[in-house]
Amino acid sequence: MSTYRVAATFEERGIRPPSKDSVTVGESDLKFIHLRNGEDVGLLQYVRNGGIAFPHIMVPESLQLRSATKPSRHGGDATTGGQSIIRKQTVGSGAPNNPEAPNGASDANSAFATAVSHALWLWNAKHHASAFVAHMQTQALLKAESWFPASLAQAVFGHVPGTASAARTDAMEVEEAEGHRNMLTKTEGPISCIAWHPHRSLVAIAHRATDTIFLYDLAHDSWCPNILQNVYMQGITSMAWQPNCGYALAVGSTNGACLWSMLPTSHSQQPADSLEAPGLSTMQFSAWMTLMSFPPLDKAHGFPARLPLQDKLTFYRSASSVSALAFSPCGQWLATGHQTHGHLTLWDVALGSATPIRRVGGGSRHSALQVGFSPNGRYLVSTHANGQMRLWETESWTSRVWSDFKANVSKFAWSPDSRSLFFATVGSSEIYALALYKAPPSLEAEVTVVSSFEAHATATSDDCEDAERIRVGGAIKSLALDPKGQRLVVGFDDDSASADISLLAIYLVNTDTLFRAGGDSSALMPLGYIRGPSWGKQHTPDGDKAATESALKPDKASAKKKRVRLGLPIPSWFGFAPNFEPGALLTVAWANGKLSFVPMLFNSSAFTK
Amino acid sequence: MVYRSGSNQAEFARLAEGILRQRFVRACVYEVVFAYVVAAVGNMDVRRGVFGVAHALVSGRTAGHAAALYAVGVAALAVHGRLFAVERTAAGGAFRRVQRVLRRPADSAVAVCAYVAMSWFLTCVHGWMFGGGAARMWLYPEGSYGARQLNPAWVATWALATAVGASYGVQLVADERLQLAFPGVEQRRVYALKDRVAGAVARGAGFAAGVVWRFWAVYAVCGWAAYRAASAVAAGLGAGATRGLDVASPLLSARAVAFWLASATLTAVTWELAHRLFEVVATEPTHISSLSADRNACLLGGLRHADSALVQHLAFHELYRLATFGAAQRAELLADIDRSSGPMWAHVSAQCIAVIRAATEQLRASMAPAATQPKPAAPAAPAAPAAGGAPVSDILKMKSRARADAPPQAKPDPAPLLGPEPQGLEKYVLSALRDALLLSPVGQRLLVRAPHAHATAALANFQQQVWAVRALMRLVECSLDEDPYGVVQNDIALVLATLFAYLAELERCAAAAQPAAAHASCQPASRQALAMIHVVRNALYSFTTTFYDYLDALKLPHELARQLQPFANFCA
Repeated sequence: MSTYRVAATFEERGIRPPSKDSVTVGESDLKFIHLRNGEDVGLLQYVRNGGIAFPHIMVPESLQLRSATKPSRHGGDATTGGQSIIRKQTVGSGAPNNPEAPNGASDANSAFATAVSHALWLWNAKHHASAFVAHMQTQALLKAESWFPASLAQAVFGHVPGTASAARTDAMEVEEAEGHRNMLTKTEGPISCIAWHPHRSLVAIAHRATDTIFLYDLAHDSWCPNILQNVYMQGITSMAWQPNCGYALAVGSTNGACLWSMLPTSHSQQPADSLEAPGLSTMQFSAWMTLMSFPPLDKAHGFPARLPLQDKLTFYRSASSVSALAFSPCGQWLATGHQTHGHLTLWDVALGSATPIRRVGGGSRHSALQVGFSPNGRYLVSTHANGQMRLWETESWTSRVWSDFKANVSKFAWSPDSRSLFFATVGSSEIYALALYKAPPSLEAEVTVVSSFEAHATATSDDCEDAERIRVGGAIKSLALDPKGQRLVVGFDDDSASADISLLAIYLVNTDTLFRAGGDSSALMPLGYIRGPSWGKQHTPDGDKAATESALKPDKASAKKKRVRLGLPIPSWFGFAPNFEPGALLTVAWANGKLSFVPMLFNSSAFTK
Repeated sequence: MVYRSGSNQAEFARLAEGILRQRFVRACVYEVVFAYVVAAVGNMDVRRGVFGVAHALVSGRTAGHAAALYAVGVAALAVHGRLFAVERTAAGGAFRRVQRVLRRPADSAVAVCAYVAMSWFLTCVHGWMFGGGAARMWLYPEGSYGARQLNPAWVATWALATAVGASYGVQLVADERLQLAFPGVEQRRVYALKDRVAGAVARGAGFAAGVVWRFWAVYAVCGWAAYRAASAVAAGLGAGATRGLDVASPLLSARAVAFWLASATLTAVTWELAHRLFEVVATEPTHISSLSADRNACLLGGLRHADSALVQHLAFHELYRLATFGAAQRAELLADIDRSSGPMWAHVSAQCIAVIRAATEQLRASMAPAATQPKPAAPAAPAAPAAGGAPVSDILKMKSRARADAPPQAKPDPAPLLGPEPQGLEKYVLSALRDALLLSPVGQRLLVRAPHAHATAALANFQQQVWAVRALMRLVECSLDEDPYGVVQNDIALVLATLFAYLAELERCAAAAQPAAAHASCQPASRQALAMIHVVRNALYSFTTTFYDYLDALKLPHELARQLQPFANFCA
């Protein structure tokens, strides 16, 4: 691993972070426009240059949903239609004796829904009985295995499908719960993840508390009327739209990969002479979900015909607890990584068939953290909890491993030419780059350190003399590279030396230097900072002043008072829109539930400047 | 290494057959390992503790057993090599299984006989291994002199061996397990095999346990009664001489049951491992065309080869791989225009389109109203199988598809339903039997076509159709950057029209199967149709997103543009 010398730091280039009461609007001419109290001299120039300002979207912390269509017995059509957010009755739990449900006398629909639920329960009595028998069998096995060898106990009491033994099942459930808890507590705020449609201006937003998915159409600035929800889609960890398809969304959850298919059922409300393709928000659509299981639940190529509602099915460990997923650019393959083992599962989405790629260990300590196809589809990168980063070649699925990092690889981002990859490790402020020197399917590559952002205190960009000083930088939590490969966004970890983690650092990217001998120039050049919309006053228990003081003076006491950081707009997720002609469109989900779109308008001579 | 031959048409087939022979030899080598491991496990003595493993590895009995298992494994590989198929009829139900067994009675008989023979052979070997106590040959203890009679345990053991072999052979044919399943993702063979070993052992053990307890139940009712009856008869004939029949009952002998289980499990696991080994080795992706001096023509010869379905499958698989991964050969194929017969792209696309069109026509014919369909041509089948309106002959004897460039055939001869037409008295007798069978309720029940069986037959070469659609569309997409002479551009409308026609028929088929989805036998065909709809839609979307900026410049016909508009609007 070689190190490239960084040409300049943010300090050396005179780039100072914006003050805490400002918000970033966008970038134009390599300068970021920060609004402070609604005034900024650069805003006029930004608008004159054709700059676009997108409004923030607010996603509340807690939601109560009412479904217009009851979930079907087939476990498929479970969209929540009608008005999107209505506080009335929770249908996700769907329990017949829900204490929060309104009285049946006052609400005939509720009574009818209860009757339907009871009827469905009776209809699925066979499944309830089998689940009860399976539970009893597992309990008996657990007791027997504590006295006898597992094989002997299984010979007497039978085995639990999909698992090695009952003790293993028990341990696995605990392991899954722990892993899932760890996985979810790493992110903050109501939004767990976001996925951009590869061809449309459509964003899927996963709501953590309710395990539902909202669809927002940015072109029409409106929410889609349907909300995606299913009883089998719980603990959403990742999402991805299927490329080269209409509207198909894969969602990683604790029960496995859920594939949502959406089909417009009505014509657009747009005028007939409109040249633009109609957006999903302007149409009614039906949606259904397929739970992808391996081995198939009904031995029928991954298309379960009938799934009983409210039952705890025995999901096979091989395909459940999806921690990461990614589609190949052609849309044919879906790669899923799992929380409970290190094997990747490769799905042919159209055929519903799965192929396990077993190279990494089977235990949960090898679990996959992130998977991602290269833009040309010839490589796949997977990172694992044992510190490994694997580069796969997708023709014969041979791989190369890098495992000499100090910690796990937290995030990575492919460059658009599929020749390089930027990534960061947990607890480190260094940014690495992996350069592929030969054409596919060669795995000849080298890892280099291209930049580092140590935590330090600096003054904000206020013009007044008493500008406040804040700490910036530290351990990198996440990063993203825009589809044109010109901007790299870096977010910082909450655990790092009390830095101002509400800031995002932006680098200018030039990957050509990775392949140039000498190393006298840097692939990354500091460009600026992005700050999100501030939190409402009612949410800041100790005020911004206390937060600032604790941030500037890191000590054990301040580490314990992390809640004061809730007042800051912490980025919980960020990424770029796949298609934005003037440049790049950064999407940031802040921990306060706001979703902001930060446009970056590129200039053709940007990097030469 | 480059093979040179005079005819490119036959070159691919010749090379493929040579490679398949090499693979069979390689599979036989791998089989040595399997046989030795299974023999070592079978000869492990648990009373020796951990030393039982070491003892089993070096035991002479293990070596002998391994040799026997190797012989059986190679025989199983030979059976699979002779009887395998590449096209599948996806439909469930008991009658479907019976129909599959009856479709090729000679092959079914070969499978059953081969497996029964292998089962008998291994029973002898296991009797020798386990001391023969459970399969004692004679009833009386040594030194007793009386009328020799067969021991019921001996009879039961051999009956069980017969049942194991026969049931395994029948289920192989009935479940179409001899069909080669080409893997979706190409991995190294060792990984592909490793993934299947656990499943093979589990399936073998499950099969053996299932057969043993069913056999035990049947034998408890029938065998024991027969044994007692025989004992009574023997006692009536000579009371003193048959007193020895009161020895311990073999049905209650734990040793006999353990012997049955161990023997049947070892046998079934050996077969299952050979089965998986053949699957993995035979479906390994090939690079046959790169062995030829003219690799484009060689590949085309493989695509045109209609004599062997496996060779044709390997050629389509190779085309799909080069379209997806082989940038160099893909560019070479698109630039290959200097041939007297026309551009290479035209020939390759014609083969892919022929596969799609054949399936479309089959679906269209099957989904047409029954009144408009032609009546069965066979004069001997007046009552035939009119349930679906199509003749039974294509079920009984499926033919490979016609070549794309073959001249249109005249009206085909009435296909013989039960093999070649005999002559003389034999013809008269067999015709009478055949008519009687077809007219009888049993024959109607066994040979009649179920609803949607047409769609099932159309999707029998499902995998080949998937490769054809994906390879064709991938080549069209790549032509945007890699087609220097614009040979693909003229055929884009034809490709799109073919795919839209197929998509329309598939959607009709899926919609027709929807009301009957609850019926078990209809689900697989419907699911295959749905999967194929996904594949075709994915291809059309892929075309749309690739050519999005050039859709106006393509100047597609109005009807095609109308059909493509929903894909451009992402509403399809």
